[in-house]
Amino acid sequence: MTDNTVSDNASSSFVIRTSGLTKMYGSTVAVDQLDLAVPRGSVFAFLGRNGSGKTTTIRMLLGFEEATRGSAEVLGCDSRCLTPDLRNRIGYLTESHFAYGWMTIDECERFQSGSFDSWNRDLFEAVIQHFSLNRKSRVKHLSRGERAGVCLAMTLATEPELLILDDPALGLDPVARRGLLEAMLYVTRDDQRTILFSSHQIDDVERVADHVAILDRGVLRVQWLADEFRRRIGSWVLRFEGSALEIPEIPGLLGVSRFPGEIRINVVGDLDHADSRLRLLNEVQVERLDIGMDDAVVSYMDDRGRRRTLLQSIGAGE
Amino acid sequence: MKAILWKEFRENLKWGVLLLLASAFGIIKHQFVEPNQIVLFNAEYAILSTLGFAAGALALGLLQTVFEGSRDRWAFLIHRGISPERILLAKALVGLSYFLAATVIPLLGMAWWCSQPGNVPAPWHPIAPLAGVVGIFASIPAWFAGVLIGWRDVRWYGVRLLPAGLALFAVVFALTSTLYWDGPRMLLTIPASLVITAVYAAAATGVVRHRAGYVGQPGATRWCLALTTVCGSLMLLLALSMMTVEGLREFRSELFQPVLLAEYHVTEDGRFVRLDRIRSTANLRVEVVDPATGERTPHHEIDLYQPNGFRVSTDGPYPRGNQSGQYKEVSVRMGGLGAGRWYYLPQQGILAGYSQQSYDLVWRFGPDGPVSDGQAPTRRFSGMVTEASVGNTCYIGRLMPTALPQLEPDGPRPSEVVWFNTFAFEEGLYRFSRSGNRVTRIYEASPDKPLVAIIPAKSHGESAVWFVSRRSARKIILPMVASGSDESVIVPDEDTFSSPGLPGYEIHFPDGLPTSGFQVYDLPAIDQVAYRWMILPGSPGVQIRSCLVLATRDGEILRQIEHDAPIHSHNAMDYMAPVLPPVITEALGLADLYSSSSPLPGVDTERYVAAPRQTVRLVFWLSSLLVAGITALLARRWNQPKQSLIRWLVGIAVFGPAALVTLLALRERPRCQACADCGRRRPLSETECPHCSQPFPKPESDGTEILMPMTGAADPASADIVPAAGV
Repeated sequence: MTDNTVSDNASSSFVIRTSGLTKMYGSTVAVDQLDLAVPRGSVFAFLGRNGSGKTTTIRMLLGFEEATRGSAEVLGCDSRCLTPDLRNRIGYLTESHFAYGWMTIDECERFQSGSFDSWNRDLFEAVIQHFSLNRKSRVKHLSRGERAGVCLAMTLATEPELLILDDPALGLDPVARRGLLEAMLYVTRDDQRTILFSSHQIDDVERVADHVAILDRGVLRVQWLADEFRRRIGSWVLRFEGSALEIPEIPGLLGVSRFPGEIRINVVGDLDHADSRLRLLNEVQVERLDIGMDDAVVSYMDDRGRRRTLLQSIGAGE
Repeated sequence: MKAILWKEFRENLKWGVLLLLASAFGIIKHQFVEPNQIVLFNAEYAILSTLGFAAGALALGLLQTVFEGSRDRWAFLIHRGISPERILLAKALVGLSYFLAATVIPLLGMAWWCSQPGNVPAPWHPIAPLAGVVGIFASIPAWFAGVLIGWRDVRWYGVRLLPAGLALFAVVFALTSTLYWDGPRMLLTIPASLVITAVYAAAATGVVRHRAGYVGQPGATRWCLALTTVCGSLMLLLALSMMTVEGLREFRSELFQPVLLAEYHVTEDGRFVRLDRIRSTANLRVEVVDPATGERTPHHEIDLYQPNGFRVSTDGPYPRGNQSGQYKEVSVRMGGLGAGRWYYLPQQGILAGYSQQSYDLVWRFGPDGPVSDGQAPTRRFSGMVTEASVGNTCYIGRLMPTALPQLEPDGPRPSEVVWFNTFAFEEGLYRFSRSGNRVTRIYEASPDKPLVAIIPAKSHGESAVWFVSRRSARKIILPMVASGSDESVIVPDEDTFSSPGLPGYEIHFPDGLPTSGFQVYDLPAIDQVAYRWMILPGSPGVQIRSCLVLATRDGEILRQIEHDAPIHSHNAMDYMAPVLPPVITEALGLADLYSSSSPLPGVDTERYVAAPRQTVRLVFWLSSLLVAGITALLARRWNQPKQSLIRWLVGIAVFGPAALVTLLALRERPRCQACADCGRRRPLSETECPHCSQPFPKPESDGTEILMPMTGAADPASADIVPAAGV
């Protein structure tokens, strides 16, 4: 583990770096030797299915969860000993969008602004206005989406150098989600500011993220530029007659979906090689498809051939 | 920090108000429910101001923190530009402010109310609220204990509760001092509580940094947390020991004595007897003991010599008087006056009586009789009012016979003879006239022998009064003025004790008597030797052994026999012995509590318990070695260095099994698994195997990874795509 001193990398290209970061609950490995690097100025999407270890990782980064082993640095400091000065530079929106229920929105602002060195009152007001919130309302009387808006306002108004959002779109309606994305873009108008956010809204990721990381059962499978990531995944549809078709061994095979007379496969890596292998199949019509971010991410989050699809499970795919 | 202070004030206002209402209700309740209680001095108030206040402080600390401990709420609280220590400080400032407001305001209000004439039938003195002040100070650690319980993120609530032990200790210490108004201990409670508060504050500082961790905390805070936990462990083990010992006793285990109570007494005819209360039957077994040979013979008549014996307490004449020292409630019955409550005011040297109806001060008496309101007495009583009956503080100051007589039909009625109005001070004995307008000193003590007790005695057909001082006792045999069928009644008048040639004698206590109090049995001469029996009961927790002293009236000790049979076995030391390490058990002689011994030299060695002393010692030592062995085993299993093992063993030597409980409660158990390379167990927290220095194997690749290099800017060309063997 590193000590609590600002390292030489404090002003380096990465604001977050982890090395072998591992978290175990009993014998369950929640995060397995995570080596993560979040570039400064990036909008970094942290993706994965429920229970894949995203929130645990974020909590370890902020010192709220003790790692079983491994280390993490945030803004150049050991994440276990973040000082108040560092926390001033980090905005954090919790997964549950927590705020004290007894406070009014005005009181939330009073409380939060008194706890951080910088406070952008205009930004707070703008977000509150965007969510059409009454400042005299108590937080406990707000809907989940409205509460998310208050929390987002409280987090953004501190103008953090690093913004960590744990599933910020959870519970937001489309308009509010649009507002969230705009707010994120507003934050990153300064290229020294970084956003790390976890989300299940892939289209949001596609809109704002320039980096993407995918956790699969605690293991980091993807960490790359978002556009490049999408380009490295290919998708094919194989149409055939008959009851079964043997798929050849293809390096980087992500997933296979079987439907009556049709198989859809996703591959990462050497796409030309995969294409040539597939076209060698007899009596099979091979069609290469364009793949979107949504399909690309789902390919990683899915079980990648380890089990049948839901349709197959219920019999519709046979 | 102002924001946190504001939030805490707002958030916990309801708890503060609730505590204020509860505290105020508790303080004033007994005044209205039981208006005859002397408020601020009674036992109920002492309990309220210690246990009650501490419970309130603990609840407040717990409520301020336990909800904040939930996952995202904790993150929201801690993740801000304020250090966790300052957040804790803000919580402490607010919590203790509410606590002080909730306790001090009702206390001051009640003190003011009590100080107003006509509200309470008792004198007022500013020291009266001291018990409440002590209780408030002693309760402050409980607030921090509540914080530790609320915030510590440990396996289960039992472990969370352990650190409250030190706060409980502070409260019990305060309670015992205020119950008996032990001035020095009460004053000691205040700085002791502040020290304990500092220990808790340091422990809480570590916890706010590392809620679940112990090893990761700074050394000072870690030691403070360990100290609070070891106290809790001691209390837990003490409770378990108590239940075990009592349980075993109840089932008449061979390990414990079948005799419930063993005491030595003297019979009317001067024989020395031993009384055993048999647990199984509850019968009393009486045996006469020959001190010369130690032989014991059964004896069936229980005709003890109690009336002519007396107890000399060296704890002070008023172990449970009205404790402030500013006044003493005394028992006075003035036939010609109305019902009232009476007090001796030593600083004014007068007796003061308050009406039971109006609660006003209506009677004041000095040595020369009634004193007008607003005037100083011409003479004052000097010294303290004296105990005038054996072990009964209700009768402080008033001499009364030991038994109601069976009177002749034409003799004096009980109401006339029992409640005669004498009053004892260190300087002598006074008598009040029945009309309550005249006071006469009827006995004057020697200035170098101030009285500590005046005790009536009746035996062998005589009525007598013992005038007891610290080093001697003078017995004066009184003339009988009324006699019943087999009892005598004394009715002293003004001339009784001044009559020349009044029969009696003086006995001198031997030197070197222990200060824990003793009993004196004054016996007639036996075998032409005028000696007296003195039995010194063992004092629980201070002196285990009892001692029998045979001395002449002049104080010459003829024989002194020590015996270590259990006298009163129900005290805390009984239960402490299995909890403490053997070194301390040996030093305190606690092994004797469970061991057999011969009660008197030469007396047969019938055992009170089955196990001889050496066996008990051996059991204690072996159990301690077992605890040390378990500790060593844990150290090895947890891959601890030798220095840690030595520290742990020192803890075991000092605190006994409680140190092991503390270790188990605080120390995180290192989780291990078999190393994939060498096969030996390796801790999960270490990156490299301590045996073969191999790292953990990387997660299994499935050939779909696209990973960016960890250095430099992202470069698409350097993407690390792991080729896979297929799915």
